[in-house]
Amino acid sequence: MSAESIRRKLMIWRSLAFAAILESVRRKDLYVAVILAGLMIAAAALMGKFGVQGLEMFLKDVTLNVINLFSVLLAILFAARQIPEELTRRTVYPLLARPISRFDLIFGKFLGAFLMSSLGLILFAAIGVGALACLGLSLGSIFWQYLLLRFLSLALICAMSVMLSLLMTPSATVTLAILLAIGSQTFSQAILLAYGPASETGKGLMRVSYYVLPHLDLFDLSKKVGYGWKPIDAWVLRDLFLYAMAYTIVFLLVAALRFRRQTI
Amino acid sequence: MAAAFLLVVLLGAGGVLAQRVQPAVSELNGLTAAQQERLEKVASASLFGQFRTSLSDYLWLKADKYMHRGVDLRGLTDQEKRTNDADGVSTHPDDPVKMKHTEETTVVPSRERDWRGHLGDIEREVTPYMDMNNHGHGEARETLPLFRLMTWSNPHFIRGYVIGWNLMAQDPKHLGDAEAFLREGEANNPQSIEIQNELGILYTVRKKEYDRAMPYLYQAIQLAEARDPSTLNEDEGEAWKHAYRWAVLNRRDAGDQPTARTLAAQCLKRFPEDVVCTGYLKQYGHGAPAALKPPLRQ
Repeated sequence: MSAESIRRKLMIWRSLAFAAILESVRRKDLYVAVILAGLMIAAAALMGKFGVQGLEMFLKDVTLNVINLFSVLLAILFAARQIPEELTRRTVYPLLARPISRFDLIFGKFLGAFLMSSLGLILFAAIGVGALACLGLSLGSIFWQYLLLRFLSLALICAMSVMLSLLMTPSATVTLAILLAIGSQTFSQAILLAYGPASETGKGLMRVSYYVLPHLDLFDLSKKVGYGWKPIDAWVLRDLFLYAMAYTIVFLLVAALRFRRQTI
Repeated sequence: MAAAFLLVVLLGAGGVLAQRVQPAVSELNGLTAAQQERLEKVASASLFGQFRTSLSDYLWLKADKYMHRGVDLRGLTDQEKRTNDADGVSTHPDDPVKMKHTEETTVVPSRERDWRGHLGDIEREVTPYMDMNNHGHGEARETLPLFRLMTWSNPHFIRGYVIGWNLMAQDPKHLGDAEAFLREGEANNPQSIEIQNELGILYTVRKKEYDRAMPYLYQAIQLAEARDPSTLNEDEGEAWKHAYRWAVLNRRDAGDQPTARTLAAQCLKRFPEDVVCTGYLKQYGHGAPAALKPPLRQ
């Protein structure tokens, strides 16, 4: 692949991502984030008035959970509608009439959803940290590791949602993506609990499902941040980066294969 | 943050309403059949009772997590109990928080017991995890507001009062607050064996006011003995036994050996294996017992 074609690809992906972001802004998606952020600030101010002495850990815990929950929901909602909307509004035809491959379209849309949800995460994190700072609370240096892992998880979630949106209806996509993203910890714990008493066949099935399904709970350092633990080792970040990249690439490839065979 | 605020508002409202809702739902002792029937028929009271019980249970779980620095614990499965194949969880003998850990293990298994290989290693790094054998409990200051909130939301949450006062009393400066907290628990739960026992312990151990402690210990014993033993839950059964033990130790330290002997003998009738009462009688058993006269509260 020549430097010229790489530059062309980058331009296509950037344009598609930018269009996806503009579309989200036009649809006032960010307003949801801003309203929620406003509520958080107001709540923080009120909490400050009531006094929070001794509730530091509780406030950190709740704040980080709110950041996690809202950023994941926004990512799923952004990503799940990118391709289906292009199809239902038939805007996909003029796009594909240009020299853009179907993979370019998938990747550009994924990039747009990822950037948009990252923006949401930054907004929520800024508001959360700001509100805690107003109350004289800080989260320590592990918070930056937490943010990095959340970005990685958003990439994985966006890729997964884009792939699912090509395999099922939008509502089913959102439901399944939410289950996989938010329920992954419960799933992990359930498998750990059920593994001991299971038969050999059952154990085999559990191992396969454990290793095949993405473990988004591994990208959540919120408990360690909230409870004031030390930063984690670099090898964990490296391995989680590779883990997220592997799943993201697989999901995007499956989505591209499915989209290539799809009659539109 | 918004959720936290909403929670605090609900707790505040819940606390006020909780005192007024009649009949109350959770952890009541000694309801008559008619009261019980009435309780079951009042749907709104039942719903509100369920809500505040759930809220106090949620806060209890949170406080439990805070005390363990976020390490998740769970009960043992039947298989783990049978095979004794699970990571142990126990409190350090010198830990001032009286938190029992029976048949518990960590949710995330240790490396030796984990079949997941590298993914297990990563999970142990990203979630709060440590060896919980002989562990201590975190700084009390962090959890005290939660105990305050959980007993506001559910004034019948006896375990909240019992652990809460112990945490407060870790700091001698807050002994008065701990006493007030426990007294509030008594006012809300006059039939509680555990709270009467804890009041007896507070005055015997922390304040060394031996005579002041005895009415509470007697009251705990009497409340337990007025009940059918099969209806006592594990905490009530423990409190009954401890009330006997502390009453014996209280009288021993107060120099009233005849009463201590009578109490120890009574204790062994109920709990023949009890080491404290057996030990006491071995050391101080020669002498006449006294007739018991339950003392009046000061």
